[in-house]
Amino acid sequence: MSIALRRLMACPGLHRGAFGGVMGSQIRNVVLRSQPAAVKTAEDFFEKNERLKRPMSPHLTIYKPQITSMLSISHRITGIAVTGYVYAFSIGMMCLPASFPHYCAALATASPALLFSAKFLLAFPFAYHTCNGVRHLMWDLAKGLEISQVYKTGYTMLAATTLLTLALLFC
Amino acid sequence: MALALVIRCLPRSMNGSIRTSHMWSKGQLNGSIFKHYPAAGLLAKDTNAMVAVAPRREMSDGGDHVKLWTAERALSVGLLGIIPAAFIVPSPAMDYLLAVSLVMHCHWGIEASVVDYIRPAIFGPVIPKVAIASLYGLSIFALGGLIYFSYSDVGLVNAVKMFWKFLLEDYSTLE
Repeated sequence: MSIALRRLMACPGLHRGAFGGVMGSQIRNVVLRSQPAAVKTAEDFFEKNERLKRPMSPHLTIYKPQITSMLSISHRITGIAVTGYVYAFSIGMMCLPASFPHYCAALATASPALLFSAKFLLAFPFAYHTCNGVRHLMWDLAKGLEISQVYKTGYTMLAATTLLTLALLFC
Repeated sequence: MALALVIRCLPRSMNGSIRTSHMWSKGQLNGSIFKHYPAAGLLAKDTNAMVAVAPRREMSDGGDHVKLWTAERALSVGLLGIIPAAFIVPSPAMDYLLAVSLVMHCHWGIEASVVDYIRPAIFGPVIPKVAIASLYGLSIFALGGLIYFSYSDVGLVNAVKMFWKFLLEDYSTLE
């Protein structure tokens, strides 16, 4: 294209009269028709892998168990355990006909080993969840979030849990 | 060629053409810059756009989670005080307070677990909702059961004491 034409093109709005009206009649209004955009639904990542029947990469099973993750999941597990006890007890006592002292006396006939195990299964999750719960509340106050502190408080918590369980079982 | 030059010559204010493309797509051609720059509409819409599908569903809370979170922590701290207090200073009122706070704490904890593990991406649209509804039902029954237990029976604190005591009696008799 010639330099002159480029200079003319650089000024907007001057196109129509640019060539002394010579090109004027040849410029036409282009009326563009709108169409909705062609929506090609892209396949989502998971849908594509399901379609190709690909196995999922191992994730949980290959991660080395560490004290951080093990203490965390134990907090959840003990919480679910204690909730299970509370809900089973309350819904059970609502459904059972007799009063609690009756069932308590009936349980007295069980062997001491069984009763001690039952006590342990009640005391340990409660103690663990309580001590780790304190640790969680500390984190919620933004305290002890450094990894060295997480480890230290983790070990402290395990010691406290042991003491609390022993205290509950034998006192 | 001429058209390309026209497009290249458009001034910066043509960025507004993106917005005016709405008028264009609605069929209104009057009163717009398209009279002078009819090709501008081509800039505004890529008619071969690939529209990405929304990612996998999640049961995310649409609103403000902060209040719930704060309430959960406040209840946890409260429970740290209520449980020993209920055993040290027992009374029917403490039993009811313990029942309400304990069941609320349990409910919130299990709800978090259910939301974390029973996900629509794995279980589909129905099962997660059923799980949450079942949890609400269970919690309501548990709370009702504990209140009923405190009202018509010995109460949770006394029940635990009774169960705990009579085992210790066994140990004291062994010695």
